[in-house]
Amino acid sequence: MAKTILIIEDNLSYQSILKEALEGEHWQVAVAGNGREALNIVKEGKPDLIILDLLMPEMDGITFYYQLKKILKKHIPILILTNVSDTAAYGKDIKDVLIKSDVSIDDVVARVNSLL
Amino acid sequence: MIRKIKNFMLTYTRIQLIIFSFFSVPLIVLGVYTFIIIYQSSTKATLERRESLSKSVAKIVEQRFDHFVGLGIHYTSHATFQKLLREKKWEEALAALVRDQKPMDAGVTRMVLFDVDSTARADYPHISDFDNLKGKTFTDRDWYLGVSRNWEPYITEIYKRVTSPQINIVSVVIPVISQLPQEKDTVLGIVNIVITLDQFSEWSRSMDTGPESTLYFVDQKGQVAGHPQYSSDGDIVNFKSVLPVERLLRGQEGVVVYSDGTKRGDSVASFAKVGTYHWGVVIAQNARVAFGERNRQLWQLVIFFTLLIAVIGIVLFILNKLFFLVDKFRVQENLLLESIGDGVFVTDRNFQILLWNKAAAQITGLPARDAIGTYCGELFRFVDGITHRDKSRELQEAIRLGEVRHLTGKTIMVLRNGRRIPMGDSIAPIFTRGGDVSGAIVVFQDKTAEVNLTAAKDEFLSIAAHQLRTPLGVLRWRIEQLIKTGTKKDTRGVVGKLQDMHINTLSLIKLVNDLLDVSRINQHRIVNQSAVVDVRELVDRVLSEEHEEIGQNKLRVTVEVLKNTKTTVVVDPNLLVQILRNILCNAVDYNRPGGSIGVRLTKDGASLVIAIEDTGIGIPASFRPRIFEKFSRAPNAIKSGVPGSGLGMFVVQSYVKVIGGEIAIESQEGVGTKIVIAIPYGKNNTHHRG
Repeated sequence: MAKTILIIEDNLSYQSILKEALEGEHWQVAVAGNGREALNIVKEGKPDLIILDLLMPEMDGITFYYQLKKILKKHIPILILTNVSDTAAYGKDIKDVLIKSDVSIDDVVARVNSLL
Repeated sequence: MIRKIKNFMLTYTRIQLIIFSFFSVPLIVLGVYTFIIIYQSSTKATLERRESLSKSVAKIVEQRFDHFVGLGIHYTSHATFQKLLREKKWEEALAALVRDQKPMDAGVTRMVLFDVDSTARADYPHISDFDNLKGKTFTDRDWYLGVSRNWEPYITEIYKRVTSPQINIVSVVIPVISQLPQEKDTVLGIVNIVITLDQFSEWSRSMDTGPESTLYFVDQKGQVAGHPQYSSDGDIVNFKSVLPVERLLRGQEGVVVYSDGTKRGDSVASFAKVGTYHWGVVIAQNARVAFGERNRQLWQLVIFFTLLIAVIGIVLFILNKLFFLVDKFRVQENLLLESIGDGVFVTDRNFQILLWNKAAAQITGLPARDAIGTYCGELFRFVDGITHRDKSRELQEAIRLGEVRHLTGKTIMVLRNGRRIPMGDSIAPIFTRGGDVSGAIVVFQDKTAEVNLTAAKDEFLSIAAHQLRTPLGVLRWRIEQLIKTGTKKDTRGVVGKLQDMHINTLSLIKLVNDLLDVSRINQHRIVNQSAVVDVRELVDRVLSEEHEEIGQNKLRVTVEVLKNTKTTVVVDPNLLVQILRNILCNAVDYNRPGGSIGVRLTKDGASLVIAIEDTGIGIPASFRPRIFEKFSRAPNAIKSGVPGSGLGMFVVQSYVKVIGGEIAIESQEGVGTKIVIAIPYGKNNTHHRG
C-alpha cells in the first residue's frame, strides 16, 4: 500500500502543485488548509510524512507541530516547507526546513522520497 | 532666571552677613572688653599717679615746715638767747639771735618774739608799727592756742598780719624751752617765724604737677595758700566747701573727680595731709588732661578695632563679589548645560557624577538629585548593543588618556533597573588649567526612537520580502512543472497552470504596487495633482474592473446618487482611484456569495460623501484599532484565504489624508462593513504635495 503524505498548506497554488507532484510519484496525498484541519486528519489516520507550512490562519505550523507531539507517540517525519527564512520563527526542535522559493519542486519531491 | 539669581544673591547676602558676624561679633566683644579693661586700669593708674604726686608734694611741704621748725628750735635753744630772755632783755635777746645765728641767711624773712603769756616783745626786722603792739597780749589768737596746748612747735593757719602792710601770713610758732636742767620744761618765750603767702606761691610755682594743673595748700580751716588764682595779699580765700578740701578737713587723703562748676569741666583732685601739721596739699588737674593718656589709648583702641572690622567687612565684600561672579558664571554654565537638548553629565576623575542635566534626567528617568554625587557604576553601565561587551572602559580611557572617545556603533546605556537605552555618545576629558584631566563630560542622546524606526524598517522589509516569496515560489514551481512536462500531453492542465501563474503574477504586481505606495507615503513623495473628477464615473470604472469576481460570487451591486448631489470633485484622480479600488476590492473579495455592495453618493456641506457598504465578513472589534497599520490583517481576513498584504487600508488612510478628506468605518463581524469617505469638493486648482 502506498504511503500517505499530509500536506498542510493554506495557499491553494502550493497545495495544487505539491499534490500533483507527489501523486506523480505515486504517493497518497492528503491536504489540509491549516493546523486545525490537519490535526483532525491525523486523528483519523496517521500519515507517513507531513509537509508543513508555518504561516497559516486558524492554527499556524509551529502550534500544530507541538500539538501533534502531544497526541502522537509514534514518530512521523515532518518536513517544514515555508517562505519564512527567519530561523527565530522556528521552534528549537524544528530542523528539517526548506524555503519554498529557494528550492525547486524536484528538490522537494527528492527530499520527500528520501524521508520515506 | 533673574529671580533665580536674585534669590541666590539674597541667600548669599545672608550667608555673608553670617560670616561677617562670625568674625565681627567676637571682635566687638573683645574690643569692648579691652576698652573696659584699659579704661579701668588706666583710670586707676592716673588716679594713683595723681595721688602719689600729691603725697610727694605734701612730703616736700612737710620737710619745709620741718625745716622752719628745726631752725626755730635751733635758734631758740641758744644759751645766750635764753639767758637774755631770762633777764627779760627781749630786744637784746632777739638781736643776739639774729647776730649769732644769721637766720636771714637761712631764708627767714621776719621774726617776732613774745613772752610766754603771748605779750609782744620784740621783732626783727623792726617795723615802726610794732611799737604800738609791744606789750599787748594775743592769748585769743589761734597761734597762741595752738602752741600753748602742749608747748610744741605749731604752724598756724593763714591770717592777716596785724602790722602794716597787712599781708596774709603763716607763722611757725616755736616755744622757747629752757635748756637748763633745773628749768626743765620751762617756757621762756615764744618766737614766731613769719612765712608770707608769697613763699607758698613760690613753692607752688616751683613744683611741676603737670599741665593744666593747680597746686595749692590748705590750712586747718580750709583757707588756701599758694593758689595761682588768688593774690597772696588779697582777702583770705576759704575752700572748705570744695570737695577735696572738705575731705582733707575730715582727715582724709586720696583723689576725687569732681566738677567745680566752671566751664573747664571735671577736675581730678588729689589731696594729702602735710605730716602732723594739720595742713594739706591739693593738686587739681583738668580731667581731660589728667585722663589724656587714657583717652588717647582708648581712641587708638576704638580706631584699631573699627579699622579691623572694616577691613574684614571689605575683604568679605570683595570675596563675596568674587564668589558671586564665580557662582554667576556657574549658574550661567549650569543654565547652559541644562538648556542643552542632549543628555549631559560630568564626572570627576573617580567617576563620581558632578553634573546631571535636565535632558539626562529625562532620558534616564533619574532625577539630578539622585544622580549627583553617585558613582557612574552605581547608576548605569555602557554595553555594546551588538556584542553586549562592556563599554564602560571608554569613560576610563577618556580620563586616563585625556582623549575624546566616541561611543560609535550601537551603544546601550543599561540602567540599574535593567532599562536599556540605545544612545549615541561622545566622552570628552575635562582639563584643568595645568593640563591635568580632572574628569569627563559625556554628551548622549536617546536613540530609542531611531533604533525603533530602524527596527520597523527592517521588519517592513522582512515582511515585504516574505510576502513577495509566496507568489514567486508558486511561479517558480509552476514554470518548473511546465518545463518538465511540456505542453503536449495535457492542454487543460497547462491552461490551469498558466491561470494559476497569472493570478500569482497579478498578486505579485499588486503587492509590489502596494509596497511602492507605502514607500512613497513614508517618504512623503505622493504627487497630488488635482483635476475635476466625476466620482460616479470613477466608481463605475473600478467596479467594472471587478466585474468578473462580482459575477462569480453573484454579488448585487448598487450605485446610488442622492438627489441634488454634485458628483464632481477637484481631486487627484489617481489617488482617489487607489482609495476606491482598495475599498471596493475588499468589499468584493471578503463578501459572501450572493451578498451585496452598495455605493451611495451624498452631499454634506462642502464635501462629497461616498459610503460603501458590503455584506462581507466584517472587522472584529478587537482588530479595529490596528486596521490602518502596515501589514496588519484581521484574523478573519487571514482565515478567509483571500490573499492580501495588509497594506491596503494603510494606503487608503494615507491617501484620504493627502486629498484632505476624512474616513470612518462601521463594521460588525459576520454582518458587513460600511466605509464612509468625505471628500471636499475643492477648488479647481492644481498643486503638488511633497
